[in-house]
Parts: sequence; C-alpha cells; structure tokens
Amino acid sequence: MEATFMIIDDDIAIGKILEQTIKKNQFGRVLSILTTGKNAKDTIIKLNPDIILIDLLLPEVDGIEIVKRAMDSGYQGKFIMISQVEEQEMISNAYKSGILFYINKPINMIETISVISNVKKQVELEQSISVIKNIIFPETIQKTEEVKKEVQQSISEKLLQIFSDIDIVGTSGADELKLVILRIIDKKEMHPSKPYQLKEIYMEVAKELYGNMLATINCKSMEQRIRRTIGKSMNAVANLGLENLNNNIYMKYSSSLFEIKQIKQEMEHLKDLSVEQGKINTKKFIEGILVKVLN
Amino acid sequence: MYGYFRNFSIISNNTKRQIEEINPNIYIEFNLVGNCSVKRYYDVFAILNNLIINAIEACNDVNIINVKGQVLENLLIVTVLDNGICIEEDVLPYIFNVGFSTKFNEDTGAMSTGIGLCHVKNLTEDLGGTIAAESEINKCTKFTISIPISKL
Repeated sequence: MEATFMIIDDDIAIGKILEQTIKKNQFGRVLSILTTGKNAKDTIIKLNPDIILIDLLLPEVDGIEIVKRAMDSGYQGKFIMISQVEEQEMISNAYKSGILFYINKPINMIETISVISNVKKQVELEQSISVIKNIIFPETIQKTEEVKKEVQQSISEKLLQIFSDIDIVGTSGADELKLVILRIIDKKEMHPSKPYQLKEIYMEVAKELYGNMLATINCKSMEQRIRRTIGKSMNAVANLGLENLNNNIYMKYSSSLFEIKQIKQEMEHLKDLSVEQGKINTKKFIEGILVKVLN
Repeated sequence: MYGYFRNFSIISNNTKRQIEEINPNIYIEFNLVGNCSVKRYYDVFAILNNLIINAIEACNDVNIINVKGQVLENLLIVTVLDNGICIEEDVLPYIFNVGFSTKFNEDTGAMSTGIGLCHVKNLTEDLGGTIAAESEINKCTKFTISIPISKL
C-alpha cells in the first residue's frame, strides 16, 4: 500500500530531507510541503494525508494548534512531530494534543526512518480494520470524506454565486473557467509559494476534459471560450454600472475582476457601439475570483 | 603570500591518496589549462576540496571524476564532474541551502550538517564568483565555478 504524507516545516531544507527519506525508503507519496502554519489545517482536511510530519514552532500558527484544529475538524490521520524544542512541558503538550511520536532535531535518520515505518504499519493496520468494519457495519462510512467534501462544496458554492452575480452561469466557457479556477486552488494548496502558469493550467484542464490526444487542439478554443465568458461578464458588470454606479454588483466586482480603466471603456462602448470595447485581463480576473473564493 | 593555480597539484596528489584509501575503483583526472596567481588560495582550496569530496562520496563503483581548471580571459573556471549517483531534479534547487543534506551516518543515524555546499557557495560569492550545479540522471553531475581572476 502506498501511504500519503504531508510535511509542515518552516525550514525547506528539513522538508526536502524528509521528502527524500520518504521517497528513498518507499514509504509513499508526499502530497504537499508547507513552510507556514497558515491555512495548514484547511490543506490537511482537503488532502487528507495518512501521515503528517510537523514542526512544533511554525510561523503564523504553531504545530500544536494545527494538530488540535485538524483533529477538531475530523482529521483522523497520524501526526509525527519533529522539533528542536527540549522543554518537557511543550513536548507533553504536543502529546496531549494528539501526536503519535515526537522526534528531536537535529534529525537522527535511523530514528526517523523507524518511527515513520512504525506509524505507517499502524496506519495500514487501522485501514484493514476499517475495511473489515465497513463490510460488517456498512453504515459507518468515514466522516472524513464528508468533511473533505464540505470544503470543496463551499468553494463551488461561492464560485456559483459569483458566476451568477456576473451573469455567466450556464455558458460553456463558465464551466471550463470553473475547472481552471479549482485547479489553481489545488495547485496553490500543494505549492503555496510556487507561481502558477495559466497556460499550463489550461493544458491540464484540457487533458482532463478531452484526453491527451485532443488536448492541444481543444486547449486553444477553450482559452477562447474562457476569454469570451470573461468578456461577457465585463459587459454585464459594465451594464449594471451604466444604470447606477452604486449598484452593489458593480461596486463589488468592477475593480476586483477588471482594470477600472477597461471597465470604463466598456461602459463607453455600451453608450456608443462605435467606441472600442474594454479589454479583459484573464489573470487579474482569476486572481480577483480567487481572493473572493478563498476568504 | 600567494600561490599559482598550477600549484594546486597539491590537491590532486592529496585526493589521489584519499581515493586509494576509500575506493581505489574511482578514477580521478585533473586537467589544468592556463595559469594565474592566487592570493586567496586557502578559499580556492576549500572550494575544490569540498566539491571533490562530494564527488567521491557520490561514486559507488567504477566511476570517473574529472576536475578541470581553465583560465578564460579574466575568469578562472573550475568544473568538477562525476558520473556517480546523480542529484534528483526536485532536490537540485535546495542543495545550497544551509542544513540540507542527503547524507547520514549509517551506524549512528546522525545527519550530515548540510554546510558543505552552502560554504562553497558563500566562499565563491565572496570571491565575486558564481556557482552552478547540473545533474543528469544516470549520466553525470557537474559543478561549475567561475571567479574573476582579479579577485583571486
């Protein structure tokens, strides 16, 4: 069985050492390496790894707090804490919060490997038992699945609300736009510090929708459809602004999704069709939506 | 006090002796083109030594290490190349980070300090130079250092 891992340590060197250790010993797959405690709980719930290696002292939110919050939210995986803290009280607090093992830094490789290996065995054992349980008592379907779905659902709902506000629900471009945005959110969670390339995201979504063979051909037209959809939303928002500059939707979206100069241009265009249309900026539009969805 | 880059044959003699002790199957060749005077020979010595020892540790069996020094216009360019175990692509960006290491003592489990390459990078940059690492899986690993001769 391949176990899934997540690593949370503000020192990327340690994160990479642990990732290498997991790879080299074939313990499983590392889904994400985070270097801050911020949003760690949400990522844990979303990725639901079997085992989490976590530092105690972290920027923003400390390790013990993350362990508590994740468990309160229904996370059932295992925590191994790896830290330099030698104060007995903090270590016992860490154990009280629910970690399975505490490893001292600087890391001892033999210790680390055997702890991970033992925890993995425990995970496997529990999983087999849960499989047996599910056969005998089928009604006890895991709660974690539900929690995970809830987070995803709330993002989908927020997206739908925004799409309906800016009047693009139901267009084919809107569905593809939604997939693109969801994929970017996934990427950001896995590699928070890594910038994403829109072109790559388009290609991945195209592959998902049309398969490897037809992805390249469809990618371009999908990009066009998305641009048209964004254009349509700009038109809708500009229309509302034209009627009343204090319109809620106009105020909420005009400057967050578009360049203000361009939306003014679009309004001029609506008044007089011979004037050029406003131009959209896909990246700004998507970033604007991300800010609204993730907060 | 200064030495000449050519005089770095001290290093070649030294490492050849070390290799004899560690793993006589490793073949190491030194190749020097051009010459220049080096005041900060201690730093250059440290840089080379670190890179060569890393290369030796990357070799497992019959491997080749090639150390090349070249004076090109106003630069001293040194490359250390080995065809031992490669550095994986996703690790390559982190090899100069303090504390990053892939090595540990097999008996005690103690991790290496992860200081070597960081030290090499600091020394090189202190000399106004640059360092680059490339690694091709199953082929070779190559470290290239360029230092302005005026700073040496």
